[in-house]
Amino acid sequence: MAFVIALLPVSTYAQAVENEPITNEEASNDACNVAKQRIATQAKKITTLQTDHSAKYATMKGRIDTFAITAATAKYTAINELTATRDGLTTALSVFNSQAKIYKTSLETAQAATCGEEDGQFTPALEAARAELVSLRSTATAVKTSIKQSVVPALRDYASWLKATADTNEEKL
Amino acid sequence: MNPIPEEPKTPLTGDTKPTLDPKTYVPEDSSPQTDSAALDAIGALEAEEDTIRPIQPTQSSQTVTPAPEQPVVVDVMTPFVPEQPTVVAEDVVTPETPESTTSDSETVFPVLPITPAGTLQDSPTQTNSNPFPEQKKSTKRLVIVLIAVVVLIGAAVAGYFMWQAAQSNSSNDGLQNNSSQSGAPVAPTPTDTESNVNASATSLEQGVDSIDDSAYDDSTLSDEALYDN
Repeated sequence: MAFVIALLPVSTYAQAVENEPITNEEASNDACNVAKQRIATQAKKITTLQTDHSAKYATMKGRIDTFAITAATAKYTAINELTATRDGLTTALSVFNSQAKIYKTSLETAQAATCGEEDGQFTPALEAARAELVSLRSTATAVKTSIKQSVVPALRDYASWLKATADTNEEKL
Repeated sequence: MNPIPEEPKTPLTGDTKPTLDPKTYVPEDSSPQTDSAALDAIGALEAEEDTIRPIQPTQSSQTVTPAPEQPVVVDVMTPFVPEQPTVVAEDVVTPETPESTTSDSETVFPVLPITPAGTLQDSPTQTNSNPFPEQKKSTKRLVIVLIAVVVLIGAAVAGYFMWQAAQSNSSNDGLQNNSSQSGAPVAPTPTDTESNVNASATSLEQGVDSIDDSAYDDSTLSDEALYDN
């Protein structure tokens, strides 16, 4: 009993410390630090994804280049359309890769910014990174659109021309 | 009495000997007086010959005395032509060296000809020295020819590989120009068909659809994603 009585002041002090109100600045700094850690994770994820996506798009473009060469060798009549779609994809991929680098740089800037409500640099850096993310998403969409709506139809047209040419040759024989 | 025809006077040298020429000597008559006079003359000549004969070996002895120098020359040449020097040395030594060592009259006939020994001394050096450089020359020529052949073969092989590389580079120039912007490997099929082109188009569509763009969504940098627990 005496032991419990002796410990009462200590427990009372501990409860008082826990119930002490936290200021807004401290809370904001804590949230900022957590957000910076998550931004760092996001930057690593974006770097890995951008490398993987760029490799896949490069492989697709290589196949399209091959078809453009063989089509030119076969004297494909609509070779200009096919090469135009290939060039459009090349431009879209270049823009996508550049925008991915810009977005990653903006994330690194936000990660290195100082936290604080008044003179802190974190919030503006985060807003800039969000704007670059919108641009990156639009460039990624442009690459997909170029492939699905330009390159693939051009390849279908090339396939149709090959079939028509083969049928014509068979009729001649 | 027939006169004795005069012989052409030749200068007396060391290698000439006073001899009677039976063809030119014709006695005037066959009287005893003249015969005795002739016999006296013959006797005098034979006496002179007797004085010369013992000394003749010394002529060769002087010529052979430098013979001890010959083995030096012969030993040098023996590894390449062992037979020729030994034969020459035997010809020089066998007839004359035994007597030459015992003779003590070197100053008596200093004018005697030494041509036989001189020729013998010179001949080994000439006969021995000729095959040695000829073999050297032949080996040098052989080595030079082998080196030249090896160099020519190496040059031919290198040229062949360089030509192959040049051919492959020139054949790939067109493909590389078309695919230089992408950097992707180019393996064009010889002829495209409808089926493989359509298959590739379908594969491209599926590949594009499989690319996940969720990492580019706004939600990745939303307040909820950054601040919420």
